[in-house]
Amino acid sequence: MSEDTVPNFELGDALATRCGNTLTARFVPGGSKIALSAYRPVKWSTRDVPSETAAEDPVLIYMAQEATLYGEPLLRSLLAETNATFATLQTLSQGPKGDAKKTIEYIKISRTYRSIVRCCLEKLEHAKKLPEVQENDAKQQQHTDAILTFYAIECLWHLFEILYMQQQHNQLIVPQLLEWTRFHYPNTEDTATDLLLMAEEASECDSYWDTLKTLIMLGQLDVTRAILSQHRKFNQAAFQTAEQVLKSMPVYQDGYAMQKFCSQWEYWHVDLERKLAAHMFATEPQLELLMQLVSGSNEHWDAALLKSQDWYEFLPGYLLFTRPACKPFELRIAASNWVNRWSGLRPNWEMTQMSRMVLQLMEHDVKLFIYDMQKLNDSHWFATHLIDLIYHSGQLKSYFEQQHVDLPALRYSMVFEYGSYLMTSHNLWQLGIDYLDCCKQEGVAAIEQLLPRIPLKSERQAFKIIAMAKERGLVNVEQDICKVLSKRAYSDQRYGSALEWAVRSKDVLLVTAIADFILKHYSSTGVILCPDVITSIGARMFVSPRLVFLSKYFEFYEFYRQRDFLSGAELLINLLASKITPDYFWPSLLIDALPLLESEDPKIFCKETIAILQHLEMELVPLIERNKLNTAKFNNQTSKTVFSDYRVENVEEILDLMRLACARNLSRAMIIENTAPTT
Amino acid sequence: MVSLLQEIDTEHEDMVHHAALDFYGQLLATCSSDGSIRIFNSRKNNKVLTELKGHQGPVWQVAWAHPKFGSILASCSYDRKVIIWKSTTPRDWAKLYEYSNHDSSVNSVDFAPPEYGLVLACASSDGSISVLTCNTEYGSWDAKKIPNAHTIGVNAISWCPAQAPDPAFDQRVTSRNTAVKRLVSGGCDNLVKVWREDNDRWVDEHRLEAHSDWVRDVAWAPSIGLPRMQIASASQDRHVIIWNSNADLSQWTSTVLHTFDDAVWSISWSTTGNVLAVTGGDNNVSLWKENSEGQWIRINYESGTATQSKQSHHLRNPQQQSQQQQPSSKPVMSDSERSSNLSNSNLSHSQMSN
Repeated sequence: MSEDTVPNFELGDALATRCGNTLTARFVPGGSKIALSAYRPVKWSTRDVPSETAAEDPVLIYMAQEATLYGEPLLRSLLAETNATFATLQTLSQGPKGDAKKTIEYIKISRTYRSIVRCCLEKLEHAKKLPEVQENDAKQQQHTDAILTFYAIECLWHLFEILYMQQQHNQLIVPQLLEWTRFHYPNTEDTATDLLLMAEEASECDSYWDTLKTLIMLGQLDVTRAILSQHRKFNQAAFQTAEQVLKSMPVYQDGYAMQKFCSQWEYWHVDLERKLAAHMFATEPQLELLMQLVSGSNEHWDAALLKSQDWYEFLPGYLLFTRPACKPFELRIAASNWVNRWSGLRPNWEMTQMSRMVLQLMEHDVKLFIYDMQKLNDSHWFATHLIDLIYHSGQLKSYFEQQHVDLPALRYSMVFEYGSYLMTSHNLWQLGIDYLDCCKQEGVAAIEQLLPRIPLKSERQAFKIIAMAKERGLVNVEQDICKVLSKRAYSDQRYGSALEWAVRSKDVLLVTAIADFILKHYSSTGVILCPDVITSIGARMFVSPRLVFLSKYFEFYEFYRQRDFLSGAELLINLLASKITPDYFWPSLLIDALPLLESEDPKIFCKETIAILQHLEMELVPLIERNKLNTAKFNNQTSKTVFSDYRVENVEEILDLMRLACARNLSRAMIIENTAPTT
Repeated sequence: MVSLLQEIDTEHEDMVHHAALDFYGQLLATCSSDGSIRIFNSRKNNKVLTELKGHQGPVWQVAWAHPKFGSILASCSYDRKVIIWKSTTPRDWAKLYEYSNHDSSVNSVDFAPPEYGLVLACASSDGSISVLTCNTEYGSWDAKKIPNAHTIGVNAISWCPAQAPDPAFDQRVTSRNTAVKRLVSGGCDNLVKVWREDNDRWVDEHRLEAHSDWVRDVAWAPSIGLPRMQIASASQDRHVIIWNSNADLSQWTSTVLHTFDDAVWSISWSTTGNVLAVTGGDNNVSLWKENSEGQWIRINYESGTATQSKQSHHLRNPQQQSQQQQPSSKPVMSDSERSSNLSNSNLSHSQMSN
C-alpha cells in the first residue's frame, strides 16, 4: 500500500482488511477513549454459519485516545497551579468593573500564568537529564514534546502580553520586544558571558566577532560594550569612537518629550553615518561591520540575516537601530516588511506554525491567532486560559466586536471543552470540575454526567465525590453512588457497609432488601450480622419499615442478651402487634417468646399472652397453610417464603410448643393477677 | 493526534460484533459470531475474566446496566434470545433471565436510563421491539411488545435520557417530565421512529424520514442541559443525520452531517454528548463536533500540505502537516488534530487550512 492511499486511522488490522475495511468504534463511557474493532455488516439473509474469516486472524479490540501531554506528573502540577490562577481570575472579575487598577491585576495574572509555565519548563529540563528519563525513549520523547510545546506557549503568551495587555501612554514597544527576544534566544548571552570571563584572551576566540554581531542584532548594547572594552586594542582610535557611538545612543526615558528624543536620535544616527563615510573604523573591518549594523545598513543586515534561525529573532534589534520609537500600529507594517525581506533571502522557506503565530500577533490578526492556538497539542490549555484572560480583561473587546467574534460564547465553549477534557482524564477530574462550574447549566449537566462515572476506587474517594455532588445539589448523583457502593459491599459480603450505604442512598427497596437478608440470616443461623451498624442507625431507620423492624428486633435481642427480660418482653409484645413483621420472620419472633412464656416467674401478663396466642393462630397458622399449598403446587421449586428457624427442625413444631407455653403462662399469670396483694 | 493505547486480543474464534465497557469503563464485554461473550478487565492487562456461553448463534450486541442494580449484562443473539446475566464477582456470572419471545434474530439491546429502574429495550428482525421491565423487589420480569415497529426488521435502538432540562432555564417546559419514557429505533424500512410510553402502551410519536436505505444505527445524545434533544442516525445510504428537536420534542429537524464514501455502520456519542464518533465501510473513524454556530466539523482531520508517513501505533492522518525537524533549541509546533472553535466566524475548516 503506497503512502498516498493510507486512509486516516489506518489500523492495519488483518481482520478488518479481510472483511472489506470495515470498522466500528464506541466511546468508552465517562472517558475520552474510543474502542475500535473490525466490523462485518449483517444482513437479513445472513446465515448462521461461522463467517469466512473465522479463526483466520486474531480478533482484536483497540483502545485509542487523543494524545495528551499530561501523563507526566510535572505537567499535572502545572495544571493544578494554573487551575488555582484561573480561580483567582474568576473571583477578581466579579469585583467592580472599569477600575484602572484592574489592568495591573490582569497583567499580574498573565505573569503568574507565564511564571508557572517557566517554572514547569525548568523542572522539565531538569527532569529530562535524570538517568531514568535518559534511558527511557518514550519518556524522553514525552519530555521533549512537552518542553517544545510549553516553550512555544510561553513565548507567544509573552509577546501577547507585550502587545495587547499593557496600556502605556507612550506605547513604546521596542525595549520590551528586545527583552522578549533576549529571553527566548539565550544562547548568545551564554557565549557572551564566556567571553566576558575570558577578558583579554576573548578576542582570540573564533566566535568573538560572530557573537558580537549577534549581540548587536539582538540589541544588547551594554554587553557588547563590556566585551569590546576588554579588547587589547581598546585604546586605539577606532575602538574609542565605537565606544563613544554606542554610549551616546539616545535611549528613551519616561517623561521625555517624544519630539526631543526623535531629533536627538536622528542627530546621533546622522553622526554615525558620517563617521562610517569618513572611514573612521576602516582599520578594524570587523568593528566597521558592527557599526554598519548599528547604522541599520540594509546590505549588511541582509548578509547577517542569512544565519538567523527565525524570522522574528532580529526584528526587535533592527527596529532599535532604525525605528526606536515604533508604536504597536507601526509594528504591523514593520513586521510584514521584515518577514518579506527575510523570506526573500530564503526562496524555499516554509513558515512554521510558530512563525506564523508570531506574525499573526504582530500583524494584529488575533482572530487567526486564536484559531491556530487551538491546534497546539496542549489539549487547549493555552487557548482556554488566554481566551479567558482576554475575556475578563476586556482589552480587545472592540476588536472582537469589529471582527464579529462572540467572545463570551467562545470563551464559554473553550472553558467547557477544557473542563470536560480534564473531567474525563485519569486523575485530573478534580481540576476539571472547577472549569465546568463556570459553565452554567451545561456545566452542571456535564458534571452530572461525568461525576458518577469516576471509578470509586476507595471509600475516601467516594466521600470526596459525594461531597462535590452535594455542594452542587446533585442529589441523584449522590444517591446513585451510595447505591453502587451498597451493591458492591453486598456482593463482597460486607453487609454492614452495604446497609450503611443503602441507608445513605435513601432507597427504600434497597434498604428493605438488605434488612431482609440480615433477618433471614438470623432466622437460619441465630447470628445477627453487623450489630454495630444496626446500633448506629438510630433515627435514620425510618427510611424503610423493614429497617425499623430490624432495629427494634435488635433492641429486643440486646435486652434478652443482657437478661433484661421485662423490657425485652414488652418490646417483643410491641413488635408482635406492630404489623411490620415480615412473613418469614414470624416463626423466629414467636420462638423468641417461648422462653419468656415458660419462665417460672411470669414475664408476660394475661392480656399479652392471649395476644400472642392470637398472633400464633391468626398469622403463623394461615401462613404455614398457604406455604404448604404453594409448595404442593410447585413442588419443583422451593417456596419463596421459607419458614424456618435455626432452633426448630419443622415449623409446625412451634405451633404445639407455643400453644402449650401460652396455656401454662396464662395459668400462672392469671393466678398472680387475680390474687389480691396479701399485704 | 489520536494515539493507540492498547490492543486487546479477544481470543474469540470469530468476528466480534460489539464491545461495551461498563459504567466506569473498567470491564469490557465483547460478543462474537462464535456465540460467546467474554468479559475482560480493561484497566489491568486486559485479561479474560470469564466467558459466557448460553447463546446458540452469533451474539450481536451486549449492554451493561447501571451499577446500582449490580453487575448486570444483557446480550442478544441470532438465536432469537435475549439473555440477562448477573455476576457476584467479575468472574462468576449466572443467567438472571432469558427472554425468547421474538420470532427472529434480536439485533440490538439497550438499558433504559437508570432513573426508570432496570428496563431493557430489544430490537428484532421480526420487526418488533420489546421492552422488558424488572421488578427488582421480587426479581420478576414483565415484557411489553411493540409489534410491527419497522417492517422487515429493527436494527438499532436507543433510549432518550431521563434528565429534563432545568425548568429555571426554560419556563416553557411543562409537558415533559422524567416519567415519560422515550425510545428511538432505526430499521430496514429506512425510517427512524421516536416512541413514547403512554399509559402502558408504546405509541409511535414521530416517523423521521430522510434516509434512503437501511438505518443501521441510532443514538440518542446525552442531555447537556439545553432545551433540546439530539438524535444521530447512520444509514447504508452513506449519510449520518443529526435530528434536532425543540424543547417539548414535538418537532424534529434534520441536518445531514456528512455524506461518507461508504455505508456507515455505527455511531457513538461521547459521555457529554459533545463529540460523535462515526465508523463505517471506509475503514475510518471520524470524530465530529458541533461548533458554537451549529455547524458540524470534523475534528480529527486537518488537511495540510505534506504527506505524513504512517507510523506504527499511531493513528494519524496521512495528510497531516508534517512536523518540521528543527534544532531542539527552537520551539516546534506539533499539529494536533483538535477542533478549532472560532465563534461566529465565517471561516470554515477547509478555508482555514489552505
